[in-house]
Amino acid sequence: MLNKEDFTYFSSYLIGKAAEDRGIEVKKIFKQGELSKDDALQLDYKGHQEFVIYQVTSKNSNIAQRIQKNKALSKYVLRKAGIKVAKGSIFDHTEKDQIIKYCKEIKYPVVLKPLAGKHGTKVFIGINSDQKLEQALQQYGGKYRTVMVEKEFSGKEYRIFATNEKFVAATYRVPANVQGDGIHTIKELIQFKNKDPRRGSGHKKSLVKIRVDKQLVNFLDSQKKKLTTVLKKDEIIYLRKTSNLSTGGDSYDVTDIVHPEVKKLAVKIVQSVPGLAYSGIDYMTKDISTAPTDRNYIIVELNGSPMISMHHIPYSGKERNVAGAIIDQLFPETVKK
Amino acid sequence: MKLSPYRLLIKKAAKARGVKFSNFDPFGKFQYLQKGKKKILIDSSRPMETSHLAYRISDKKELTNFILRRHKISVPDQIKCKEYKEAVSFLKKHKDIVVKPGDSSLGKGVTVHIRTIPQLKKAFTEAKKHSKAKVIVVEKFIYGDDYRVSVVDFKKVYALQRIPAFVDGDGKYTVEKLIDIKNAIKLTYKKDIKKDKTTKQVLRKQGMTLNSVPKEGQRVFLREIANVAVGGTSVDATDIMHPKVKETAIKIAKVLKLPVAGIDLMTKDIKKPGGAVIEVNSRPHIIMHHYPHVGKPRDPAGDIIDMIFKD
Repeated sequence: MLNKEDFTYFSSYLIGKAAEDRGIEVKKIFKQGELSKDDALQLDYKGHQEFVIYQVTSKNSNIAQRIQKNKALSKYVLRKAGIKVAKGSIFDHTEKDQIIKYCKEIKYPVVLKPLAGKHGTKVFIGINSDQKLEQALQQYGGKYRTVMVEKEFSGKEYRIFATNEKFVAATYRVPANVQGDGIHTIKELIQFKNKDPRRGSGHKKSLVKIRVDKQLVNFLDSQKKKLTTVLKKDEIIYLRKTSNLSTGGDSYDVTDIVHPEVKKLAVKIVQSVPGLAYSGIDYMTKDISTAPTDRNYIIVELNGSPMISMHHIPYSGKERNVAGAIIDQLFPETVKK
Repeated sequence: MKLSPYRLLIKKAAKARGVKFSNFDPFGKFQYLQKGKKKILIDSSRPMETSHLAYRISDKKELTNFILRRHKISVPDQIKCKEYKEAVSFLKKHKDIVVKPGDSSLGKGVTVHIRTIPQLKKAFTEAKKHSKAKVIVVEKFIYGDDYRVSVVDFKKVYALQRIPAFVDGDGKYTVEKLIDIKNAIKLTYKKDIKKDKTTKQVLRKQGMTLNSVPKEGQRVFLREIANVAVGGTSVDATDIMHPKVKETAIKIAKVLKLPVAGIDLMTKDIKKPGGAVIEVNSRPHIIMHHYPHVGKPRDPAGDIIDMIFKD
């Protein structure tokens, strides 16, 4: 039996657990941190052997993974397949004048993100003036020289997990937030929320503790709130701009309400990247229960190593066995007909 | 858009087999190969069949070493160091070691044959400069010749010896002049021997300078690493490779699930079984087998195309 505590990533544990449930022999091939912080599993079933490292399986091609990771390349591939992506362009962070000119052309608000980045690092949204643009640009440089400038799309952020054969699950992601009760301060409400045993640090659990840092205090300040402010009953305050779960966001399972055409689209998206077997699709739309049109959605990005734990243990809603779908692909012989 | 020589090689092999070769993206990263209904992507010598997992294992030297060891393939003793002092105790134990970044390619930041603390200190700093993840790997130095053994489709195997840049003395010319003479011989995929800081250092270790005149028949090495890219010499060794070496190479490709694999092997004699696997590349520079400086040219690019379109 696998022990959750031995894993760096909860998602890796879930894949191992799903394999065990299928009668596959699972061995962790090295101890946590011994060689790498990645979790590595060896799976054996009647002479069929597979390795899983981190959340990477032998099913996705290296070329497919590199297409997903390169934001410019993945947008190019999706657009060619007739899938909607945000209008945007790439610049060096020092090309201030060209960037301002481009923003005038596509019109504010815009989003800035590094060409190579993950977990929402250096992503700035809601930029609606030259001044804010210049401020955001100052945050780039070093490892993050190349900036992607995109027209902001307004909508909710969903994460869809799909394979090249089927739609599996969808989650609605909300930025870190607290809800008032008329008695406690924001700081106390954060502390209460962090007591939830489903919240951990890093990628140990499916939800992440909300960290009180400078960025959070600044964001509160922009809403004329402080950590000591007492919120009215049922008043909801967002603590971050972006909905990344890794910065304390919440996940709501919405699998059952996804429009059938969105499900088809998700499979088409995975199929549009050569060599891709499954992906975590960042899907933005106002309402995922309506059919996609040319204007009502965009694909923000594709994730090759998605945090599948968000589907297994959502903040709210039904639990979905995404790891099971990954095992279906790896060991089709174990799927019950 | 100008294609790299590695991609041109694939293009040539594709054309010779009636396979269409075209660009996939405007950035020149990947190319399509198409014949009949089958259309797949290729990234230089790495086909679409190479999984991201296989890439990830071969990219992390310590992980490759670990997995090969589990499959009873001979690899040098190795540890991953977070701190310098771990490297010091490793040196004390093994006496003669190699320091390298855990995640770089083409021999960047690698120092071999380290026997003293000052050498180690310098090598450690150098390796750190070339590691994105700041992971340093130290391993026992294996005496022997350096071979690249490439495997395509788990069956075709090619071996090539790589000799560090050298000149042979004639009792008349200086090292500098001998380098110039050697560099004047132009061959495809033969690179010039540099007269840089590293060259001078390697000479100094042998008590020489660029102005020394080596004796007739004296071989003077100008690099410690057998890298063709910095003036090394390549000699095809496919026909003399021992069947056991070939067998092991195929086993490595199978264990790591690499349809195209470039194995770095250190061995005293490739005509006999044995040797140790230093690392494995998932996108090897197969061009070196096409243009050896000495010996018979081979055609792994053609084998890659044949593998992709075998059915």
